[in-house]
Amino acid sequence: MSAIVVRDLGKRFRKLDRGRPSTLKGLFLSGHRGGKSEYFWGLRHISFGIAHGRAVGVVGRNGAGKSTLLRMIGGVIRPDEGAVEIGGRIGALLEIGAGLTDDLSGTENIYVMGVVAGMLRDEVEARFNDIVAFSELGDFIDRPVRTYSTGMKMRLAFSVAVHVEPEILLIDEVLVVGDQAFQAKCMERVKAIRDAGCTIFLVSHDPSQIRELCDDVLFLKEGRVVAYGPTEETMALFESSMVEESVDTAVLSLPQTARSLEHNVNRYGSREAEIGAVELRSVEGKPIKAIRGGEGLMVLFHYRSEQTIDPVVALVAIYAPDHSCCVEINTLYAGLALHSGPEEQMLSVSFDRLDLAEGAYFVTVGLFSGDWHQCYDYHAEVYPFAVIGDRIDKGYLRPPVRWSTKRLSGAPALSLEHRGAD
Amino acid sequence: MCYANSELHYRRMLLICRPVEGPNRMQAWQRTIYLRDLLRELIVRDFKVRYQRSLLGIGWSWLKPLAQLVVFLFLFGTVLPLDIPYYASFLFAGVLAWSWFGNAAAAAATSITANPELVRRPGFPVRLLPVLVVMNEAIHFVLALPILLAVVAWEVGAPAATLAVLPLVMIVQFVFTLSIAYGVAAAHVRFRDTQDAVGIILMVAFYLTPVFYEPTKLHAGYALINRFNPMAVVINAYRDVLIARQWPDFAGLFAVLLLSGLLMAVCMWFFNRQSAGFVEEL
Repeated sequence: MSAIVVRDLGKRFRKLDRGRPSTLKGLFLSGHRGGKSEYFWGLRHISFGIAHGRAVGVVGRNGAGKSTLLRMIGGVIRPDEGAVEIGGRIGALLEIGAGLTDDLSGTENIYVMGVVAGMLRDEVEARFNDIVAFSELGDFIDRPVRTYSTGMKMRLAFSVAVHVEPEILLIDEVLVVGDQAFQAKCMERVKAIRDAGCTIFLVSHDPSQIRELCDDVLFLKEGRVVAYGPTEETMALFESSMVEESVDTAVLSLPQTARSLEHNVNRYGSREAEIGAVELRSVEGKPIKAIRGGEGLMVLFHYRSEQTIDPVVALVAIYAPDHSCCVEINTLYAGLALHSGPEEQMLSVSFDRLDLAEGAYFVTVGLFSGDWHQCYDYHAEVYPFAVIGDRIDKGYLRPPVRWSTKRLSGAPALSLEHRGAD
Repeated sequence: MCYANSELHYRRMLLICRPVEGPNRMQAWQRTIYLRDLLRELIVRDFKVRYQRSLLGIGWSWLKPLAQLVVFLFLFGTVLPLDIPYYASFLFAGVLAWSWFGNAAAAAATSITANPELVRRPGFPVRLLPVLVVMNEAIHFVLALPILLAVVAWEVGAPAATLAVLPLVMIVQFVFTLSIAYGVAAAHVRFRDTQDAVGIILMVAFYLTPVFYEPTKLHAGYALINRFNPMAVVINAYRDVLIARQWPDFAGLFAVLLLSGLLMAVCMWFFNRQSAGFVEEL
């Protein structure tokens, strides 16, 4: 028996509300012509089943239909096609904090919200102490919610929501409540709910959250199911597609067009030898505009000169969004003998892996005389590429890391006393 | 193994997933208890929010009908006497009953749009919101009832056995008001000027209902007002029971109940049809 069965689900939306009066006045003035609305399918041909006790994450770009799907499963939006079958009591972690009544005390709010969330009054009463304890509000619980800070309100709302004990839990981007410690606590609580056998349906933009919680992942794109399967494989597919599509996705906010070359602005040198087309490719040789953190990058460029110049040195560098140089390499130190002549030459360098932090980076290329005394051509931070990562932490690097701890029993205790210089 | 092909996966899934067995809702009885709890909590919430922080508290619920009462009493009892016996009681019964109906119908307009967080909540019975509005106003009616009874006792005398059917009249009014509330609530989500239209219609309806006058006293032809206006039937029933101390027009009340049922069916149909789109319209 399945907890959720979705069959050929479809939902269409009006493109524009033009021609559909939204007031009675408009209805009378339009003479009930009721202009034809244009529709588009926000979701279509969605079919999947979730067995009891499975945790399924939904991923996809903004507008892929994730929240619509969640709301249709919750029965809040009615589908235009297909059907949803639910086998159990539904609970939801959506819009945390939206249902709070400012003028009532925390206690009164717990009852109202608990019942609204689907509990009987007796059930709220039975769990009241747990809810208060979980919220960590202490004596504040009897004060009006209007005196609470935003964090306190969220804690109260979340505490009620996670005590409903549903059989199916719908979660929409809400596990970011309060401070780090409370977030961790919420995550633990959701995990405990999952481990108790509750079916979870989670919409999230945070891949690490999905990896932590979900058994399966449903990957939506433009209202269709692209893939539905075990978390690791599906997330890999999703993330690689994000990289491929990066041009027209969230990465769009990063500068994507090559900066135009302007002499003495971002281009320097005598031009006795010139750098032509510069290309960025994946290690497999495919032209790309973005890589995932930890993937490789190939920089490839053409150069030529009227006279033969021998030797020349080529330089390639990668600059961070804040114009710091992350890496600069050149052919001289690499022991590569290079010369330039009327015949166009191609040079490529492959970074096997770039463990860079998420952001917009620029590639710099340069061509110098063999003794570095003369700069022929230098394109400073001209060629962009994006690095896509999971989390925004600090620093430039995201090397693969592994933490470990070890208890040192029997070892001498660390001496914490301060030794002055005497 | 990613199911990159959703069609293929669909077929796989059909093999795995049999249709969900059994009722997916709570047991009917538990559901009833749940709806009762929900309604109670929401009524208490609205009541507390309305009066908890005010100086007069619950006194506010009496103030508006009392003010109306004083104005009409002065106007049509003294300035332009209408010569209606027991005018204070007559007026009070009319004003209270109308307040319940009018306030509920007006508040119903925003009952859906003012509660988006409830409407968007999976499993929340949106149908409860118009009931909540009508119940909120019913509570004010009930709270003011002792004052009305006191006025009647002072003006007319001790209540008679006919008082026993007062709850029946209230039920009829409740059902009628609720049917209107459903229509108004659903219409307002779709047409955001419904609220204004309802305000005007209620204003006209107030004067077409014998709240402060007695139409048959002016001209026999005006009896139509008493006959074809559901609220007139209800208000007259209150007066029969309280003031005239006679049995109300049961046939009339039954007709109103029948009409309400019919109206309720139509409005519920409209409400259900619209409620599919509530979340999108909010």
